[in-house]
Amino acid sequence: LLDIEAKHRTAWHRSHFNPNQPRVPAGNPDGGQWTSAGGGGGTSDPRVVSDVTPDNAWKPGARYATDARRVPARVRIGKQSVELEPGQALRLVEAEARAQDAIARVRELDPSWRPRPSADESVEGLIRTHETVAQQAQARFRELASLAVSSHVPRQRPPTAQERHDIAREVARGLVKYGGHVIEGASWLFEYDALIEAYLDPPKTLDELRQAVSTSKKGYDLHHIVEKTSADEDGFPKSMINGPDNLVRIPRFKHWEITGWYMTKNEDYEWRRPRDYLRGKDWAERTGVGLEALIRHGVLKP
Amino acid sequence: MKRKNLQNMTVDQLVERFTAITLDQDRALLRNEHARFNRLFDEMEAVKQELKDRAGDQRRALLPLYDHPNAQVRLKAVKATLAVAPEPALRMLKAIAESREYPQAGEAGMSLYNLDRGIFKPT
Repeated sequence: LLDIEAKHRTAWHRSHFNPNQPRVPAGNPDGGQWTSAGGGGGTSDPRVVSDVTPDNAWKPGARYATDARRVPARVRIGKQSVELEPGQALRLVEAEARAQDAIARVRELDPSWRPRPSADESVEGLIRTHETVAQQAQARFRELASLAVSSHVPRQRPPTAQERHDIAREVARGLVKYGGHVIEGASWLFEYDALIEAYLDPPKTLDELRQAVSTSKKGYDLHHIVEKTSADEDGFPKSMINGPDNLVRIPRFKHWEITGWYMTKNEDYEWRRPRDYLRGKDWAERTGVGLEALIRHGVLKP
Repeated sequence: MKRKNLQNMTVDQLVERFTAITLDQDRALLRNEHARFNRLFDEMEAVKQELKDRAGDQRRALLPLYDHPNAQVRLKAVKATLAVAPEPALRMLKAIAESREYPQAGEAGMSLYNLDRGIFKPT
């Protein structure tokens, strides 16, 4: 299992974190997807100021590669060459690309994995087959990923609460990262079921997060959108700090992560803690930062 | 570690030190040890400063850490190289922000927000 985890991590970084691999720009049908063609693109970013010469390995003006994908006019199904209808070609190419991507990911963990064979008699059948293959591969990937996460969990209950907490948080992080839901072989971890399940929540609307405040639920904490400590120190009234507009109910582990972000030094704020940066700022500025922190930590829908 | 000790280290040793510190940071975040994290942050900044002060600004030596398996190491390497390799660093920052590897995805996203607003000015 550890070997699977190591392989997976290598594969994951290879597929997702190659700094030279371009991405399809937002607004495109494939927006945000990694793309293998092309050699990088973009222009200098004016947001970054430097007193040194930037690395010019990047090629200004090079295009992202979304339009480099070849869209066929005909496709061979069995022994027949079939003409594609308008719109079919792109759907076929996209379905095939998704299937190939999913197969590549799962084969990094299980090189012998093969999709179930099928016979296609039409273009629509071929598209459905690609979609099914992608689903099969994704399911197998999730299964292997859960095994990888499970490999970090001792079967025996760790003696200290700190150790148990650390493992539970690592499991929660791993499940979010890999998209898994099942951990096997460690019954003691059921104590943390609510905390881990809560951490897997998808982002919610602000209304949903606010409405949830009226009921308590295991695995969740109340969270102040405008950070409480710096607002207290700056003399904002309690009625604002603890008012319904400023309170949301969020997963406890997320609450800890956001609190950690506020309490730790950060390059963004000239090496100060966000909490210190906010001192002296008005309520609107604090609210903006608080909402953005919820969005960026995957709690609030953008 | 004292500044003088850092001055006696090779660039490779400084990169190793940076990696060790940021791995410790990840552990500190996992355990809510914020005071410890802040001490480690100062140590990391001293290593970055030493790399910056070397001839030709050696912070580029941190670029290979973009491929490190630990998200905290990657994130801090990216933020440390925004001034010297802005475009690959920005791409990596976006990739981490979209990675679902928390809490680093959260910090990366906030850094993008702060870059957009002109609050974060890498130097």
